Amino acid sequence: MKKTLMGMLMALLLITTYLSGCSGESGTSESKSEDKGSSDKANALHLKVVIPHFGGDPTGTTVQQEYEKEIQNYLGTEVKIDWTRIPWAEYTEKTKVMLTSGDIPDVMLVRGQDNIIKFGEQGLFVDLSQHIDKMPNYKTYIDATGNNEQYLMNENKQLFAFYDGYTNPTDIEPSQYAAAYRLDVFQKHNIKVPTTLDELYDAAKQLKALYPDAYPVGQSEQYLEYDGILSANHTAGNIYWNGEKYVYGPTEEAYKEALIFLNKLYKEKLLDPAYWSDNMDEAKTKATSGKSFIYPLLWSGYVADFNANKQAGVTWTLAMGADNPKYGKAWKYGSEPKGKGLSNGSGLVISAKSENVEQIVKLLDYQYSDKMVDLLMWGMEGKSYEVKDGKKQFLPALIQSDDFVGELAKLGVSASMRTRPGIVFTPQERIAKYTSIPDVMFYHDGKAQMENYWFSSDKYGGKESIAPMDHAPKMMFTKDESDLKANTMTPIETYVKESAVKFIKGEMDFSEWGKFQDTIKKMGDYESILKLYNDKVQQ
Amino acid sequence: MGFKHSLGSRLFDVFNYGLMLLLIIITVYPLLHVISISLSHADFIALGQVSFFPKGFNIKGYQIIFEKRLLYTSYANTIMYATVGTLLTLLLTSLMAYPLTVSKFRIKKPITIFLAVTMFFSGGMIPTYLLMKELHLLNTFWVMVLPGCISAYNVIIFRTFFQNIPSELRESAYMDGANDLTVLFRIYLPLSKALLATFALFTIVGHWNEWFSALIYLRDENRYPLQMFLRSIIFTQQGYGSSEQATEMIQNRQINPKNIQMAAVVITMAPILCIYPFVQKYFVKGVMVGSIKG
Amino acid sequence: MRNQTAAMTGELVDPHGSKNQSPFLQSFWRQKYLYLMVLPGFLIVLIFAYFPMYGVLIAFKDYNVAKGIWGSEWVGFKYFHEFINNPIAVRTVKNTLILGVYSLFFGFPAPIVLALLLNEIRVLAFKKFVQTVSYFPHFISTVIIVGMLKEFTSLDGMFNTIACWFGKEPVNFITESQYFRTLFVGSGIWQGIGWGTILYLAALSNADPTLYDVASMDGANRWQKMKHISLPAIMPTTIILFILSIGGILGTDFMKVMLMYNPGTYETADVIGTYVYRVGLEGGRFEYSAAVGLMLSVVSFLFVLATNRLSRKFSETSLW
Repeated sequence: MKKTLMGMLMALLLITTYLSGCSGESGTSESKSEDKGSSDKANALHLKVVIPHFGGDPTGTTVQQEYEKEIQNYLGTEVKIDWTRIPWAEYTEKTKVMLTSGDIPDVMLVRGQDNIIKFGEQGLFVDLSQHIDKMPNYKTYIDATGNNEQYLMNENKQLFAFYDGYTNPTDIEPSQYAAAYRLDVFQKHNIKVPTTLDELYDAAKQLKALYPDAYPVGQSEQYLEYDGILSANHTAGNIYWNGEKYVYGPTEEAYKEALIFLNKLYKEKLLDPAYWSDNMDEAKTKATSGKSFIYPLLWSGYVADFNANKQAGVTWTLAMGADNPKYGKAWKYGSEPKGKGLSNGSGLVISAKSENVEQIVKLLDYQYSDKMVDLLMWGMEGKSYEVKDGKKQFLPALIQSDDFVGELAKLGVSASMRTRPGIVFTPQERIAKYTSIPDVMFYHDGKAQMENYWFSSDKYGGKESIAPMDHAPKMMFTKDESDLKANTMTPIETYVKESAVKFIKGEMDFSEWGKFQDTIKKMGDYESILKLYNDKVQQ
Repeated sequence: MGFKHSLGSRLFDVFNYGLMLLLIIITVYPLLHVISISLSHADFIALGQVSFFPKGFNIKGYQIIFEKRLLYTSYANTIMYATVGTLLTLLLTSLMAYPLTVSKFRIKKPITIFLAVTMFFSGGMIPTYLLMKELHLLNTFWVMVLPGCISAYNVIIFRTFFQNIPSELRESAYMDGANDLTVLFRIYLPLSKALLATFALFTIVGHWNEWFSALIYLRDENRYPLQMFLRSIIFTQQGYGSSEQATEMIQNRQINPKNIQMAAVVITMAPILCIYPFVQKYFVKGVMVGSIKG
Repeated sequence: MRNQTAAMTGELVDPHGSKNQSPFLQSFWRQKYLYLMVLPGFLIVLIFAYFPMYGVLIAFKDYNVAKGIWGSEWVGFKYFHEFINNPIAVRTVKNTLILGVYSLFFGFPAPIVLALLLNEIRVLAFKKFVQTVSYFPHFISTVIIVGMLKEFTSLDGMFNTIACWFGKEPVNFITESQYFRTLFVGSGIWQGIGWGTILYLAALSNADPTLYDVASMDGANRWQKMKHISLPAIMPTTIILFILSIGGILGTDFMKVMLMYNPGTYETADVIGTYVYRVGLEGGRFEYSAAVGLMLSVVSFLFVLATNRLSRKFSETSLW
C-alpha cells in the first residue's frame, strides 16, 4: 500500500518535471515552417505575420493567390509567410498581451495609436522614418495626410507604423449614418416625413395619437454622444472641433436646446424611455414590431435588415437628418474624407528584432501602390470588375446575384469587408467599398427610392452637412497628456451623461442649468484640456 | 414512518412544495428560452416573439456549428482538459488539505495563509504570461490544466470537510500502523465521496466554461477548448463573425446571430447535464456514517 | 483530543525518530508524510501564483515593455492619488460597498435556505428534479441572462404586466436608478441560487440519518430537527464560505454592471470597476487599473483578516 502511494507521488513529481520537456517540443510546432525552409533560407523571405480576420479566410482565394504572386515578383525573391489570423472580436485582447510582454512576430497589426507610439518608443518596433527612401508609395499617403508630423509621428519624428490608409479618387464625402423613418406608416396616415425638428415633433405627435402604446422616437445605441438632435443643433456630446477651435459640447447653448427638445418629447411620451439603454437587439425588435417609427440617427445598414424581416412586413427608409433651421443643415455623423490619407487608429508594425527589415518595408510599402490597392479592393478585371467610361465597377453579374457581397468574399475581394487578402489593413479604395453594398430605401424631397446610401448621403447632404469635426486638425497626444485627459474628462463625462438624462426626464429643471455648468467646472478642469487641444492646433 | 404528520408539518409541506414549483418555473425559463431561440426563425427572433416555445422551426444554428471540424477537436480537447484537470485538482487538493487538519502539523498556519494570500493578490496578466513563456508552456496542453489545478478556495473547503471526520478514525488507523497517506486514501477519501463528487463537478464545469486562458495562452486552433471555439463563431458587437458561411446566411436572413449563440449554449450544457445524475447519487444523506459503521 | 492523536502519530509513524534530535528536526521527521503531501500543491502555487506576483509593482511604475517591470521607472503612489482624488471616487466606492453588502446579505443566505428546504422534501424524485432544474441559469452566460432581464423589465415586459394588474403605471426599470441594486442582486440570486446549494447539500450528506430518527422518536418537530441537526451539519462550511464571501464584497462583477447600466442609473450603478474601465478606455492604462486592483485586494484581505478573527473568537471555525 505504502509503496503504491509513494509511486503515485513520484509519478506526479515526474509529470511536473516532464512538463518543461514536453512543452519544449510543442513550442516548436509553431515554427515548423521555418525549419522546413531552412534549405532555401539564403534567398527566401520568411515572415511571421499576426493580423485580424473578419469572418472570411482569404487563403486560396483568387485575389490572395494573385497577391502572393505579385509580391514575389516585386521583391524578386520567394516569400514565405506564416499567417496567424485572429478573429477581429478577439484581436485587441489577444495582441495586448503579446505587446505588453514584448512577444511579437515580424509584422503585426496594432490597434490604437497610443499603443503604436508607446511600444514604438520603448523599442519594440522598427522606426520607419529611417527607411523613408524605401517606401515611395506609403510616402504619398503620408504626404497627403494633413498635419502628418504631429498626427503620425512622435516628438522625435519617429514613425512606427504603416497606418490604416484610404484613397478616394472622387470628391464625395459621404456618411454611413442617417435618420430613419417607418415609411409605410408615414404614408398610410399621410404624415410628412420630417425635414426639420419641428416637423419631427409634429410627426411624433400624430403617431402617438394613432398608436398610443408606442413611443415614436427611438434610439439604437446607448449613446448620448452622437445623437441626431445634437447634430441638428450643430453640437456634440464631447470635445469636438467646431471649425475654429475645440469646444466642449455640453457647455454650449445648442446642447441645452437639444436637451430641451428631447425633454419636450419625453414629457409628451413621444420619446422612448429606453432612449439611453437600448442596444441594437432591443431596437431591432421595436423597429420591426411597430413600437418605434423614428430614429433621428441610425447606422444605415440596419434599415435593410429591418425591411428584410418578412414576418414584420415593415418598410423603413433612410433620410438626411432633420434640421434645426436656426443652425442650418443638420450635420451628418462621421463623413469620410476625400482623397488619400491615413488614419492613426491602427497600423502595421515591424518588429525591431526582425531580420529582413528592408525587404519587409518594401513589401508593406508595395501594398500602398495603386496597383496593389486596386487588386486587393476591386479584385481582377474581368473576374470581379470591369472598366466603363474610365470608371471601375463590379461586374453586373455579381451585383445581380443573390448574394453580391458573398460572391465578392468568395473571390477574396477586400471590398466585401469580410474576406480581406494581403497583410491587413491595406488601404481602402473608397469607391470599391461604397459600391459593394446592396441598395436600400432612401427618402429625399417627397420621394423614396432604392439607392446606395453612401452616394445618397453625399448627394442629398451636400457639403454643408459635413460636420466640421470630420475635418478637424489632426493631432496626437503623448502618454502623459492622454492620462491627464482620461483622468479629467471621465468624471465630467459621467456627470454630464447622467445629468443629461435627468434634464430630459425633467428630474432636473432647466433653471438649474447654471448650477449644472458650475458643477462641471468643479468636477475638473476641462478648460485646460481644451487648451491642450487648441495649443496643439496652434503648433 | 407510520405516524401522522402534524398540521404544522403539512402546512409547511404545502408552502415548501409551492415554493419549489415557483423556483422551477423561474429557473427553467432561461433554458427553455435559450432552446427556443436556438430553434426559431430569424424573423421571429428579431421581432422578440420567442419566449417559451420555438417559432418558425429552424436548425441552421446547429448545422453551422456541427459542420465545423473544429467543434469535434475542441470538444475532445475540453474533455481532455477537464479529465486531467479534475484528476489533478482532486488529488492535489486532497493531499494539501489533509495535513491542514492535523493540528500538530508545524506549518499548518503558514501554509493556510500562504494559500489565502493568493485569493486576493495576483501578479496580473503580463508577468503571468511572461512566466508561461519562460516555462515554455505557451500553446501547450499543460497551460490549460496546471496553473489552475490547485486553488486556495478548494483546499480550504476540503480541509473544512475533512475536519468533520471524527479523529477517532485516524487514531485507530495509526494504531494499526497506517501512515498519513494511507489514512487519507483509505479512510478520508472514501468518506468524502460527496465532497469529491461536488468538486469534480465544479472543476469539470470550470474547464467546460474556460476560454480566457485559451484566449491568452493558446494560438493553435487545434488546441482550443470548446468555449473558445464557440466564442469564435458567435458574433460580437463589432458585427464581424468568424464563420464565413454564417455571415452569408445572416445576410440572406436565414439565420439570426442569436440562433448560433443559443445553439452554442445548448451544445455546451447538454453533456454537463448528462453527467449530473452520476454526481447526484453521492449527495444521499449519511454516506459517511454508513461507511463508518460498515 | 486531536492533540493527543497527533502526538501519538509521531511515535507510531516514526519508530526511528531519535530523541536526541532538535525538536524541529524531530517533528519534521515525524511529520515527513505531511510535508510530502503538501509539497506538490505548494510548488504549483509558488510557481504559478507567487512567481508572477512581482507584477503588483506595475501599480507603482511607469511600465515600459523594453525595460520590463523591474527596470521601469517608479512613480510611487501616482495612480492611487489619481483614483482617490477623482471627484466621483467616493460615490463609486460607496456604490461598490452597497452592492457588495446587498449581494452578501441577500445572496449568501439564499442557497442555504434552499438547501435546507430541499432537505425537507420527501419525494426523492421531485427533490432531484428541483435540484437539477435550479442549476440551469448557472450555465447561461451573464450576457444572455442580462438580455432576458432587460426583456422582463422593459415597458411591455413581464414585470410591468404584473405591475399593471395592481394598477401601477409601467416603468422602464432598467433606466431607473432606484431599481438597479434590486435587479442586480435579484438576478444574481436567480443565476446562482441552485448552483450554490451543491456545497451545502454535500455538507448535509454528512449528517447522520440516525440522528433524525432518534429525534423523531423523542417527538422533535421538523423545525427542531432542522435547527438542531441539519443546521449544525452545515455550520462549519457556512462559516468558512461566509468569511471568504466577506473578501468578495468589493469584487463586484463589473462586467455584469456594464451590461446592465446606462447614464440613467450611473448614480447607483457606477462602481469602482466600471469607472476604472472608462478611465482606461483610451490608452488601456493598466498601471492605473493595477493600482486600483491592488488597493481593493488589500482592503478585501483586511476584511477577511478581521472576519476571521471575529469568527475565531465566537465560533470554533476559522480560516487558520
